[in-house]
Amino acid sequence: MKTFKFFCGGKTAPNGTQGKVVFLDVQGTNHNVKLKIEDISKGLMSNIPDVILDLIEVASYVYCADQKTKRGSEMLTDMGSDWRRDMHFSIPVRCPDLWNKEATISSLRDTLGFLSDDTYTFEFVPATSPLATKQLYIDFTDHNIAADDVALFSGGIDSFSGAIDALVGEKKKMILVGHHSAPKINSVQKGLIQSLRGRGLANQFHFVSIEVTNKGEEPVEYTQRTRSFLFACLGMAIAHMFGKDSFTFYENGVVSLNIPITKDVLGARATRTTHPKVIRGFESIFSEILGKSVTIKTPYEWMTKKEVVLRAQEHGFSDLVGETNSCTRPRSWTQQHRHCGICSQCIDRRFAMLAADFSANDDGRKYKVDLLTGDRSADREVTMAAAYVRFAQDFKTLSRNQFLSKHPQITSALSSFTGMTADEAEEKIYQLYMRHAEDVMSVINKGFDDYRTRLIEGTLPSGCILSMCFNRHVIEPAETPNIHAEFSAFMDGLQPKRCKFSVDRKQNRIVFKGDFFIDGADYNLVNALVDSFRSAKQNGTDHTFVRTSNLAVTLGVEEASLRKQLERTRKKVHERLAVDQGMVFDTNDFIENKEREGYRLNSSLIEVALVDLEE
Amino acid sequence: MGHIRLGKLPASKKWREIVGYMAAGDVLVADIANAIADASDKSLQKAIKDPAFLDALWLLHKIPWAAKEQNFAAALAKIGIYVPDNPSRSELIAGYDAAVQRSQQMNAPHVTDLSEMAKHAGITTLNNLIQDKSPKLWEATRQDVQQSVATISSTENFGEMAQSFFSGLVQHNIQYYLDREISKHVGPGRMVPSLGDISVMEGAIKRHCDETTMIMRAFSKDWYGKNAFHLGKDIDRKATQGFAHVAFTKIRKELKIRSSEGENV
Repeated sequence: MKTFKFFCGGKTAPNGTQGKVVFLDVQGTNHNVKLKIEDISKGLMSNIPDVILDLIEVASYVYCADQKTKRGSEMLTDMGSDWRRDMHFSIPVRCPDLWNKEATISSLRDTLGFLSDDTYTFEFVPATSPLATKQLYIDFTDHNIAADDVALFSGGIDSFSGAIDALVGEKKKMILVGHHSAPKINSVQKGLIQSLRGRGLANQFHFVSIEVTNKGEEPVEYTQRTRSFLFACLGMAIAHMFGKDSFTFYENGVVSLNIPITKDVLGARATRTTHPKVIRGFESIFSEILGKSVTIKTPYEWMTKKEVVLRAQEHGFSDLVGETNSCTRPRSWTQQHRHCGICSQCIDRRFAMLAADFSANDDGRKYKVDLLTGDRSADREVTMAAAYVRFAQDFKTLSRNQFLSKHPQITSALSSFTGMTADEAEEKIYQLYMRHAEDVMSVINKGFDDYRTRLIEGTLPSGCILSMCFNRHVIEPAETPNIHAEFSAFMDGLQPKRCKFSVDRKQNRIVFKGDFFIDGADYNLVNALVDSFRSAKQNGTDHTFVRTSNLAVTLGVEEASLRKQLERTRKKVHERLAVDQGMVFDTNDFIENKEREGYRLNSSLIEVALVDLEE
Repeated sequence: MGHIRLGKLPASKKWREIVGYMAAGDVLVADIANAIADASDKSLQKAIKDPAFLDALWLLHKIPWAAKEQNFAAALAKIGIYVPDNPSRSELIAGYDAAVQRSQQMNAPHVTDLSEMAKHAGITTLNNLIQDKSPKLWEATRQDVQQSVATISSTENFGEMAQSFFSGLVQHNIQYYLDREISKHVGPGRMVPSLGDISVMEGAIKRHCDETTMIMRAFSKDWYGKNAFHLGKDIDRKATQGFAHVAFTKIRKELKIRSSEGENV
């Protein structure tokens, strides 16, 4: 695990600091974290307490640190130990007492740990040099708006449908908060906002755009597992400015729970951005520092993405859905292609759009690789799509009883749904994923109808999803019913084995079943005990112990050396017999020792002729 | 949001050879399982020292003993598993998951993916055993769950639990690597003709692992009977580590014997 030490806000590193040292600052001569909040009303200026400024800075440092420090490679060397990082922060804050509370620190550590798989340590120190003023980050304007709710707005289909639901369905006045770290994402968000204004909703909402990035430096780590922490902190800060104790995260349940689609995706390698456990953790952090109960609402947690898409349709906004974007590769966008079609978000989005029958509103030509017919044979590109479809295929046939056994990752969410038992949550998650699997399979089904001729003619690329679903020819013989139970019962009925050995006097070895033997000093020791063992077995009597002093004389060693030799011989034999023959030996099961009497071979051993050993 | 980071196979000679087998198509499950176990052996040997892995296994064997106590929840709390009174199946498993997760966070510098796999194998084992041993004619009550779990403390059932745990773990270890590559070998005449056949292959790997770990039943039963009952020992983490070490060595050997390579052993 790599260790990183982050000294923030002008803090210096003490001499001899171990690990890689990184300096982060939102202001001053070493200003390298860009933080800008646009379009906040002047009237709200007094609603920005110091702890909120602290919160924004802490979140920005955590997010920028995440991008500045590399995880291990995708090869997951040493079983993924390099994927995890050890992150230490030293941050000057305005309200150290609030940040240094045990409950705040543990909530931060546990939530960020679960969110990112990294380990977090925080040292919050009282600011000694002047910290940034609110004017540094925030562009204040003259407008004024009252708000019913604050929601995060990423520009993806979920947050867009959520905004429509709130503005049109519930007639709420909303503050929409958008975070961006790239101009292309900003332009997607602003384009959608313009479209909403153009549909007569301008007086019903206000958009706050926030930019947080590393200044003048390209990120070295793109996984950005802490992005949702930043996003949530920004949402909390804006909600607080508007006098709210809650805000809303619109994200469908399938993505929130994000059950891994392949077995190498463990822990946070499938993002947990809005995982219920993370959401409860965010609530706990905010409640601790603000000294009041904070709620984060997730109204789409029991919906599939298709169901979320249909929300926009229900309110008559289908035509704008095509403008949303969730692609993680904005650098690959061109005028013609606005979605890479390869990343998990693009695949998920397109399946949902087609399942909702939205192909007229979501132009397939804007995807660089077509979902069903695009060639994905170029190495890595196939894995994501293939795994996505296979997951749905498997889930479709999964019984309710098998659910937790097949997808144990879901367990971490079971206790995190407010007002619901773990059993109820398990049932609802199963139903949610079953609907998702049905959505995916319905798209494949329709694809077969649409491309039947080309499939039969064999003119679709072999690396496209439809072709990969179509080639089935393996005939797998069915397993005999109960074979597992019968085999298990047979194994369970086996009697404990007794150890057989043979003395090979030609080669001076004690030989056991398999290819295991002992020789040298080990042989001499056992051989010195064999005669009394053998004669007792022949006569049917209990055989005597050989006194330690006599045994030492026979072997020509000191008693202390004899004891050490005995330990070595026992260890060698016990370890090999456990592995080779499944025999579990205790200390006295091979060479027995009785205090003040000496040593003998255990009477449960069986000596056989060398040729009979392998029978 | 909802990003997923997929892995890549390492680039060493052994792994390149495995990709070579896969590309050639027509691969025996036993051979690919053995080749992956061989190539991942070094990483696994290091990962066995992951303290959270040991906790996942240690807690699993402690749960049935807690179920024998009148106050199941209190007995579980003593080993760091926090559940509501009279826990249901889901609540018990969620408590186990949280306890291993805490161990992963506490032991962070030494944590590997093996402890995550062990946690999953533990959950699967508990879930299957509770369902198998619960009444079938009516919906299991919370008392039924406790009684079902308590039966796992017998030597016979410990053997079954250990086999299920190690089978799940070995299967996950194989697929941890295989899943990074297998989608690139889909098509006519290739290793898997269609996406559906990947699931067939997964089923075949599961069966292979179940059979390979069958030897664990007798061994575990003996080990447990001797330590827990005959000697009356409290099985601690150190004893668990010794047990796991022997188990892995036995399984590794069995995987080899069952492969083509094993024909010459």
